Amino acid sequence: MTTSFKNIFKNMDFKLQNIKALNLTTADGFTLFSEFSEGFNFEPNKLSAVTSSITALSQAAAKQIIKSGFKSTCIETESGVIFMVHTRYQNKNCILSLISGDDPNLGQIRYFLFNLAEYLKTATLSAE
Amino acid sequence: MHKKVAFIGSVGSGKTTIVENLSNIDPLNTDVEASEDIGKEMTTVGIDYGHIILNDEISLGLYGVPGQRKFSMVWNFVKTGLWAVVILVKNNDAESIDELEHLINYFEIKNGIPCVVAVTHSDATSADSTIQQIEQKLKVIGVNLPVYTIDPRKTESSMLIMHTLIALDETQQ
Repeated sequence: MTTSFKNIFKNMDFKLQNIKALNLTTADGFTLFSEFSEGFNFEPNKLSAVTSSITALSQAAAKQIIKSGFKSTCIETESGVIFMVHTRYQNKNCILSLISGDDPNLGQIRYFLFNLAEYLKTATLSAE
Repeated sequence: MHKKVAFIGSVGSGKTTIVENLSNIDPLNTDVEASEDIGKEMTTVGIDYGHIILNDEISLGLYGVPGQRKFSMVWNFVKTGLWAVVILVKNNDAESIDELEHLINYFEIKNGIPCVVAVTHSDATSADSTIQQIEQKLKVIGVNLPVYTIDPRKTESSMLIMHTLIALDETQQ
């Protein structure tokens, strides 16, 4: 059974409470899917470009400085986090990112986002 | 003294190659698979970083930035504290030539920063027409910059740019 990115966002929002955005982009910054909560204004393409650049730098740092594989990047702000993980969708390298609400639980975000990243590797999402 | 040089230019103009070729250290590379047809398999989305020691007094940090405008966030943090800029233009590529004005304005080249325009991919076809178009464009923009043809894969050719930047800097002092 296929699901939509909108449903995934609703489900994630229910589990994590008040997330602001969920975005899936190709590794080179082309938005595939983007969902965000009402009242949260942002440009999905800007988020895609930013997460693409930051994740590439994180991957390079992990590989060339710590000599280890990249897993995730987190930007902590005064009003929540942007959490980014690597995934694949339809055989393309992608970045899945989540912008949390004001009171994030990092452990939960990490857990659910990694699970979703695994799911996306073999999924085909419907348009709606 | 450590100086910061940015390599800018359109997609596929040779920025990653020149940083890799000039660097004395294993360069930081942020290339990813291109998901759209851009004429090559990989594209830079972060920063290419290399380092070169020119002599006892000068070392250069080499910063290659993504060619696509959507990554201008990366341009912004490379732009700060620049000593010099190298603009790479792909030979016979209208988009690459058109991008020149935007880059000159974005990186504020008019403000006396040492800058060289280098035409790449000229091993198969003559670069005369490209150079002519670039010179016309520079005239319209109102900047006077040296324009060379280089092969970013060759160290000697790429070093020509570095030595020109130093000469320009000395002249401007």
